[in-house]
Amino acid sequence: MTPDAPTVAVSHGALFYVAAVNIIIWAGLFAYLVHLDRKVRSAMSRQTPEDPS
Amino acid sequence: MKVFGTVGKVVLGVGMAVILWGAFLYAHPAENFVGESSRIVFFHVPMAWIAALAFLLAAWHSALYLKTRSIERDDAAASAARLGILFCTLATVTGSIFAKVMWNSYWNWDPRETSIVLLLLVYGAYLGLRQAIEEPERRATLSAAYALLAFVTVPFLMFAVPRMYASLHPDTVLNARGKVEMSPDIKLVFFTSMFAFTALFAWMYALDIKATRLIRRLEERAEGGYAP
Repeated sequence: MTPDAPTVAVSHGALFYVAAVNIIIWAGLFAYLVHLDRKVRSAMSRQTPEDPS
Repeated sequence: MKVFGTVGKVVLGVGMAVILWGAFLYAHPAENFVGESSRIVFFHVPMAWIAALAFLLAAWHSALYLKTRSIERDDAAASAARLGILFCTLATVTGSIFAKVMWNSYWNWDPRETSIVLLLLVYGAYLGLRQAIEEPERRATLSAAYALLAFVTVPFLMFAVPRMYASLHPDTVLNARGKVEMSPDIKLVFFTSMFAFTALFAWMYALDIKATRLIRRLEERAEGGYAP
């Protein structure tokens, strides 16, 4: 830490806002992963018997 | 390879949301850090840990490929290296944001920043090597040998170099005194976050391996002339 580092007062509301944005981003990422997971599973189940997964 | 089922995914989904809430609204900012910058530890450290884990897995599967010549080991090594680069990049970006808040500059050419860039270059070359060779067996053999050599640099660049030179970087989680010096609230969120990020990586890794194998099989079919 630099000796003259400024102290920044952050309100609870700002932290709540940042947490909410992060949770929304996570929800989007999670939904995308679930979508990819289903897509890969269905592609694997469509494989022919001579090329089992 | 089924890592976890529906229940596991729901637990991870909800758990990560709770961790995000805890990271900003439950844990208190640590002392001796500017403002709220210490909260980055809940994201930056797990990402760096996963990068190291992924590079270790890439080396492990590469060694197994050289031993067994199973192309599926090559798939697993390539997936691990790709995810390792992703998480290493995220760790670098989060570290850079922290540096801007703490030292008013995104980049300071600190030993830790420099060594992580070198590590990204080493593994970037691994992906370049894979792209450059078309013949699958030759690509797998050369990539496996390179991944083993590349992993030799990981302990050096991630753990040794930053400790050998004076660095702006704060104490590591397990500090020089061999202790984890965090307040209980920070420790709780931090270790839960480490666990959740590791689970997320396990899921992404399993998914990436499956997708890589599917793509390879489709390519093999196309080459064999019986592609749909």
